[in-house]
Amino acid sequence: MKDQTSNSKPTVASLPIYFPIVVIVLSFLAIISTSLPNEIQQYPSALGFPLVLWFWLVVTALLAILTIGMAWKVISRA
Amino acid sequence: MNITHQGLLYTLLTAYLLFLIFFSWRLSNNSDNNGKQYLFGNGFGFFLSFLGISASLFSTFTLQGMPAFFRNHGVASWVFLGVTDVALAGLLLFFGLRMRRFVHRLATDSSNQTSAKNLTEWFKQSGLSKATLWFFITAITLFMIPYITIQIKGAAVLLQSAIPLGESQLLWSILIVGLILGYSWFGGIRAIFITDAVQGLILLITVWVIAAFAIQAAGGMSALFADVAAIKPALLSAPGPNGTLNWQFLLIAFISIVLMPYVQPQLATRVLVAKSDKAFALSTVALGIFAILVILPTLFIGLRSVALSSEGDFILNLINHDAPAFFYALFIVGVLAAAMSTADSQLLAIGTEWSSAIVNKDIQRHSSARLLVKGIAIPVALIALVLAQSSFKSLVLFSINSFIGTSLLLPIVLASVIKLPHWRSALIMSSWIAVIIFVPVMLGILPRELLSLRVELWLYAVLGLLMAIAYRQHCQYSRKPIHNKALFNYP
Repeated sequence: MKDQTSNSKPTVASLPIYFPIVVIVLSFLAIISTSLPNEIQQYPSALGFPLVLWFWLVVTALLAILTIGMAWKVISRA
Repeated sequence: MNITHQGLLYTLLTAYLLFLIFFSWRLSNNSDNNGKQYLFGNGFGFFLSFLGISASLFSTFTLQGMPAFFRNHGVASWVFLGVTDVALAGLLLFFGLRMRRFVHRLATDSSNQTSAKNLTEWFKQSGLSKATLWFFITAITLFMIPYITIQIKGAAVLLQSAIPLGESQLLWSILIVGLILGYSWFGGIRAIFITDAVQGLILLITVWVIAAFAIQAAGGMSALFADVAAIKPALLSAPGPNGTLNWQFLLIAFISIVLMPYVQPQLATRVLVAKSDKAFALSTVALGIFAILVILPTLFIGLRSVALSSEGDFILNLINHDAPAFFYALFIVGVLAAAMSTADSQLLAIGTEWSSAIVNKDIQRHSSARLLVKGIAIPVALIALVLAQSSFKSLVLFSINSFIGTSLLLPIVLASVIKLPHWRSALIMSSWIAVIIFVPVMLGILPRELLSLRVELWLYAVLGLLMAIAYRQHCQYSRKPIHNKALFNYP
């Protein structure tokens, strides 16, 4: 049986170094925001969510969008 | 549990078991003992890579632990679960591609016909010493056993509460372990795909349906959060009512979780065996989206349960209260499938790593690979079975610590990349020392904090600094500018 994984050449040179840095910075922002005062964190906003939850959801969405963008670079080069 | 619940549960459990028996029989008809076929398949496409990584990451903890985390510690659990898992997917795309390229070059440069498909083969090809190999595998096994244990325990306790077999969950534990070992014996990695697929499907359907019923029963999203604000407002901010989710805990959890794919064999193997970079990249995107889709409803389930009775299993209470009987049965079968898919891939991975270390030749080409792997997986499963009869609380704590423990082995992975002998030795030694310090801290023999900072953070800081310096030296040795070089480049 042919070993497809070992014979297929990697198709990607490298993704930009800013990609993991942005991922780590965004994640650290989410972690640091947990130290904000309770009044700010719990401030009610859309759908009854506390404000800080919206912030974390936006960070998560940004991480996902960034990952999709970078994956697209890989796929389009393949 | 009423007759409708019981009838539906028996029906779904029987259907699931028949499904597993059918596939066991089919796979046994065209099975062989060849290591590559049995352990790694023929290279995974997008769908199987995604399923494999996500099913290894999302376990019984997803269905039972995540809602409990939101219920007990509040919305800040999203940082621990949601943000961290999506960041894991992003970082995996970047570093996973480099891992794949490094392993490919390693095979080419060392004139091996095939690239390494697991960590031990990788380390053997890169010339790490036997002592380092044994240390890595022993540490990984010891740190992974609690996680396998908690899968068995989680499913057995739930099944015992639904269909009691004797006084304790021992019989259910034995049945689950027997099912995992017997089933994966026949099909190896291909059998695991099936439990992965079933788990993924049930997981997604169950959590969203239960969440939808929970939101509806609460009177809408705003009402759900208003209920929580009225009953326990501390749940709506960090660090939560118990003060658990502070920045130190979240940072330690973040580091230990995002490092899992590079040190834990069941995940590293999935990265290495993806058929192409394209399939791998797609699977990481799918993983990130799947993480959001699976974790978000557990937030609503956990917060809704705050307003309900706290007696017994709170998720079963919530389902009984808010959802139709069918989902009660689906939830229990979902937990069983999740336990099986996580535990069987971990047992196969641990068995494969040990077998790779024992045999001199490549395990992929070994004719008795199946026998070797199972010979190791069985005692590991039996240890997990015995541990599953101990206190549940301590096991949860132990499994979280097991992630931290495995992350301390990252310097060994980097050492396999670096060719400068003194830096290689320094990295390996640092990993030994970190584990030797961490184990007594984990067991409570040494203090948990030093100068108000958790010991794990000190260890991560020192190891991180050492790895950065070692890698810089490696780059200078390779005489290439750092910013133009991919990480894990091979000189």
